[in-house]
Amino acid sequence: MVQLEDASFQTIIHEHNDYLLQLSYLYVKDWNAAEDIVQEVFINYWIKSEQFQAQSSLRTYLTRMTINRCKDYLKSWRYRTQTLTNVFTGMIRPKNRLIMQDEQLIVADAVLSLPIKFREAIILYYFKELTIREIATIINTSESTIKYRLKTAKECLKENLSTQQWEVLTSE
Amino acid sequence: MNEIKRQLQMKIGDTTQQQRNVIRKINAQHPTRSKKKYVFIPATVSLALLVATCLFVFSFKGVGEPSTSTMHAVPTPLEEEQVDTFESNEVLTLTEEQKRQYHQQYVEIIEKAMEKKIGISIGVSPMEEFKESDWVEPQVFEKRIQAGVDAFLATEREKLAAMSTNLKPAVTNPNGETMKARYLYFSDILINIGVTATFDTQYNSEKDRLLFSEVDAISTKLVNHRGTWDQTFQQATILDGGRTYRIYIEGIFNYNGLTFEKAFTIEFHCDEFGKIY
Repeated sequence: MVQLEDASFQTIIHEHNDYLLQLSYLYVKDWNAAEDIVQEVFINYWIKSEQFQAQSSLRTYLTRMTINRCKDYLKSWRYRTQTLTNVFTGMIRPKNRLIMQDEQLIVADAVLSLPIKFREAIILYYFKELTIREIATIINTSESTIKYRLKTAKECLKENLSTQQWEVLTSE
Repeated sequence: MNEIKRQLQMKIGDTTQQQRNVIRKINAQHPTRSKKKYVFIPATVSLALLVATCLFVFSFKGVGEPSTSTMHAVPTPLEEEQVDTFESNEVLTLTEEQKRQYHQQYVEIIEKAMEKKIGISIGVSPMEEFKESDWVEPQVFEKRIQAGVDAFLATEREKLAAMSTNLKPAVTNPNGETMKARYLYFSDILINIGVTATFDTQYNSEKDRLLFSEVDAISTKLVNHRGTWDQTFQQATILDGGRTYRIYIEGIFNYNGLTFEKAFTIEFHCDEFGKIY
């Protein structure tokens, strides 16, 4: 049985916190919800750490837990009805506001406006730079499904973005 | 870096604050303790331990130690100013007996603060979890607690003021029940509570208007939020010659394993034609 002591738990939090927060935010697009989700993931891992199988890396395990919770959240009544708790967190953070004044993040906005299945594929592939096989494992689907979703996601992005922006993407 | 990654990274920005929030939320639920020794303790004991030791850890845990208190989620000038005043680098040398006495006094201070039912859950860690640097004179401890309470109340005022314009007016349904909502602030959480009651009004010939005569079936419920709310006490007082009913409510809000006691008042008014608002 894994005996997860405080120090190691704290190390795990510090190591994965940023990664999971970014991922969670890109799914739920709400910082407060993202924080809650990541917190739940860590707490659950802490409580059930003995269930963690070392067959996959810890990051993969936490990533999968985070994604599942994000999807639960997106299906939840809380998300659909935009409860009061989101009011404060919906505000744009000053830093981001400055960035947005300086540069229109058209591509990012287009990605974030994609339906979740396609957004997920783009986030995991382009942002988290996972392989198609890794993505398929994490979200428990086939590689061909991921390829299809990536292809469709790119087509959607192409439609939504101006030609110029799209050329930036295709030139990479 | 690919363009998608670059833009998403910029969109996200720096997550330092969010990371702190996550750690704070974790500490609020499960402060940094070894967990295994609690796993098989019966639920009631666990709950008691949670309430006593885990829900809320104040900054009395040592000078220079990063604050993990949920109460400090939104720093205010008041909070910073007062904490500075109360910090002391002096490490007390106490005997075990003195420690027991101090700990007992800490518990009493906390109990006194909790009696106010302002919506925070504060607990004192078990004595054995105190580091040498955690021990302070009870007066200092009390000041720190008060500073935390003041900071919480300041944040509460700020949050409630920001949301006050969003409240819907009181609604009376065909059954005669009137529902009015108000926000309650707990540590980092703002919830909407609906207060429902049935009012009777009577015409007062002397004042030539309708006035409240009776209130019945006072109930409260949580609106649009996860968690549960259990009303534990209510008291209605008629004011202003029958124009106003002030209802005092106490209840317990449970959220993510955290328990907060809260007391609040809400007023219902009756206009001259018997409309309740």
